Amino acid sequence: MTEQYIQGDVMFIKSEKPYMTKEWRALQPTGGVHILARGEKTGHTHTVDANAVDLFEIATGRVVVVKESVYVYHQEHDPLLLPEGEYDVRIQRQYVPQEAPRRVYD
Amino acid sequence: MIEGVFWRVEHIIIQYWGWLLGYTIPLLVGFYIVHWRERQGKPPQGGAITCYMACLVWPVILLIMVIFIIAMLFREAAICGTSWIDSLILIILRRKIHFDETGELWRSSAPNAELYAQWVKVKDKTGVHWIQVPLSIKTARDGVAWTYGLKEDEYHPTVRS
Repeated sequence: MTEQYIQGDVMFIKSEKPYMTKEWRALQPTGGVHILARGEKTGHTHTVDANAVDLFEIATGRVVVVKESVYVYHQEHDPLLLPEGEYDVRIQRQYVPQEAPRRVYD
Repeated sequence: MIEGVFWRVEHIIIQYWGWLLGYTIPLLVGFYIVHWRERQGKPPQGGAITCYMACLVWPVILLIMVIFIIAMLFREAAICGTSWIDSLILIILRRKIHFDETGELWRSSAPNAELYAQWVKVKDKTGVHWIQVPLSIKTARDGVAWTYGLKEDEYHPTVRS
């Protein structure tokens, strides 16, 4: 079973095999941290130290490569320790009738 | 239907505003006594002014409570993709149909039988969250898994903060 780590509305799914393909786009950190997700309503962010991870954007979402164990921080949740590995970043979604699912309004 | 309405009223009024009921009854009694003393031609007591002031404040408190309840309902109605009226009807009529360790699954249907909605209710450190899920969801665990784009048997969090 794959390991799953959840911090609020963000889930990190550890991949059993490498995701890496050529279609990935590396994202640049801001102020020494990577912002994994940002709440639309509160502006709260899920951030990690940019020295310990690489963040990539793919067509279906984001992938974070954790080079060494790192904490994910959020203003309201307890810090989440992510072990070394490659993770698919999933943002919680909600159903909207007759439309595509959209992100939970955080 | 009644359970949904009662749950909303009970949750809001009794849990958060129940102390006001104990405050209101003595106020009303004091207000009556003050007026009774005036009709008897007796001088007002020192607490009369306090009673009158408190009695004037109570309608304001009641108004704030009503506005608060309406605002909460409209806030939750905003997550639905239907009109405001339909959303309010769905929220008032919803009932719990399943629960497990991940949360609760609530379902609602409007009287016209063409309007349905389902939510998963989850609690975490930041509070209670209602997330709308498709009607195909049958269990709370399935609903929570769906919100993360997973199937029910794929959802098994290792750590949750």
